[in-house]
Amino acid sequence: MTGPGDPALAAERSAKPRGRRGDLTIFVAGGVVCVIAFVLEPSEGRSSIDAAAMLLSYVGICLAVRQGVQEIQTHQADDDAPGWWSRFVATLTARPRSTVAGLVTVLAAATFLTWYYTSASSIPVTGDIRVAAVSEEPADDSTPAGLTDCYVDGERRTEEGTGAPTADCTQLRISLPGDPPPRGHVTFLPVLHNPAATGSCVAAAEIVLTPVVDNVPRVPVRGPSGRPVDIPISGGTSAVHVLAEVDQRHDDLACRVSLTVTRAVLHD
Amino acid sequence: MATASRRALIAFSCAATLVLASGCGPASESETHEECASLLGVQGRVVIGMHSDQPGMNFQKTDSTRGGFDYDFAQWLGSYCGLNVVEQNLGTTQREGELQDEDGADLVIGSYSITDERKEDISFAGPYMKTKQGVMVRSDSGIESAADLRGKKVCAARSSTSWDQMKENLSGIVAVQEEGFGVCTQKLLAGTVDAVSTDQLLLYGYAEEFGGLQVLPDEQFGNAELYGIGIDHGDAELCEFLDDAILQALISGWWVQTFENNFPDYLDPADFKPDDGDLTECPDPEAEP
Repeated sequence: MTGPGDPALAAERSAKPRGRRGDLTIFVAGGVVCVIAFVLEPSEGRSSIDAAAMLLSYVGICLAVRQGVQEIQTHQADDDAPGWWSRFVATLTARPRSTVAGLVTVLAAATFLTWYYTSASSIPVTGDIRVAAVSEEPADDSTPAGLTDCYVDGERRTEEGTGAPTADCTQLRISLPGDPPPRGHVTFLPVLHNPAATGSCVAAAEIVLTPVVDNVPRVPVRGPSGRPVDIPISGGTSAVHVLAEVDQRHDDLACRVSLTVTRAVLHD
Repeated sequence: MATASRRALIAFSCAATLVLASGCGPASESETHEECASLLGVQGRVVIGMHSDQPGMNFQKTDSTRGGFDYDFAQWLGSYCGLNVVEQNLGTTQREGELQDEDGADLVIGSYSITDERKEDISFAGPYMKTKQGVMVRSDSGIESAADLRGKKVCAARSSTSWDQMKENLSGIVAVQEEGFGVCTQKLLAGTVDAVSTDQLLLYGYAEEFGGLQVLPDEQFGNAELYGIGIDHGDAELCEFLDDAILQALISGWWVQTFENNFPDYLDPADFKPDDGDLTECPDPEAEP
């Protein structure tokens, strides 16, 4: 026999609000993580749709799981069977519609998430792009390759003092992974560096990025050093590359800058 | 009725124009003064670091009177901001340290070339002047081109961009380093060195002041030297404010007039005047390293 002063009953009563608070805490914490991801992802040069998909799926799963747990807890007191599976079956039998709805929600959210991450999400490809210097001079084995420096538009005085240009390269060719790449846009974070102790070459420079899709150059996109640049590359049927050049707005011919792509993300 | 409506419409348009004009016009002088003092964090006076040994740019004569483009520009900026200018003499090697020191100069206006390397420690507004590096020799030296400098002693100031560019661009010379270009020029006059290399504009100032010296007119090399106002590192707001001030100086006629007052007649101000579009040096708070 139990009464108002029974310790077991008191513990059960206090356990329910604690359980609800726990659910709520998990739900809110997950939501906060999703919102933070939603805010941070664009700054990483990725699509915020990724975070929206994550948020949507998380909410769906949380709601469905929470509903399922509540249903099971409702029937827990009526069910003498000790096993979780037995209680689940009892719940399914007693409330088939709501349980099935919960399961369908979980499955739909999980399917959507799986589809999104395999077919539409942003793909960081910083380590997968191939970078090669394009020079007006004949190709040379010593030409820099990979994520490396390309000195653009240089002029250096020779021994004879004639000021002959000795540019190491005029362009970078940045090849994207995939044939064609699996997404319709690429965002680069290009960074310029002036290796010399003289000259103000970075602030006055613009990086000109020309996507070449199916061997056809498209409209160039311009941007300053250190800012992400979004380049449309959709509609191709074969490999895509981007040509990068540096435009010195103040025409200082002695400026030589290195160009490095520090981040590359494919996205829609 | 139609006329009355038209009149009402015209009256309303005029009133709206007046309201918009009063609200959207340029800042008043007192607002500019207030904003400048606030951005600099000063009251009543601003300490500006400057050279004192560069004729044409900033030169302190034996009677303690000063003159030169940088000096005039500092005074003009003080007036623009409604602040008294306190002049603080600096050597070439002291400029970054003065700006980084909390008790140091608020600004540096001292033929201070904007470079990407310096921008790692301080920031620049501007440029307000542009020139290129050249070579000055004694008029009777027989040196006519950079090729004649092979094996000769050429002097530049320590910690200056001129020193780096001289070593990089003038092959076969004996490079001599001194504390400032004033010292280099004295050594050139004394015959201790054969040439001085720095910004052509400075060299024209020295040649004009001391006589017996000439700038090799066809010898220009290295990066463009863009003179900026040195400010605290990363202070984008102050930079934008000073860029607006420089723009006023450039478009108002003050810049050309002051240039002509301080440099020889045969120099064309257009060769040294920056374009409006050159004012791109302010720090970008959103750029990633």
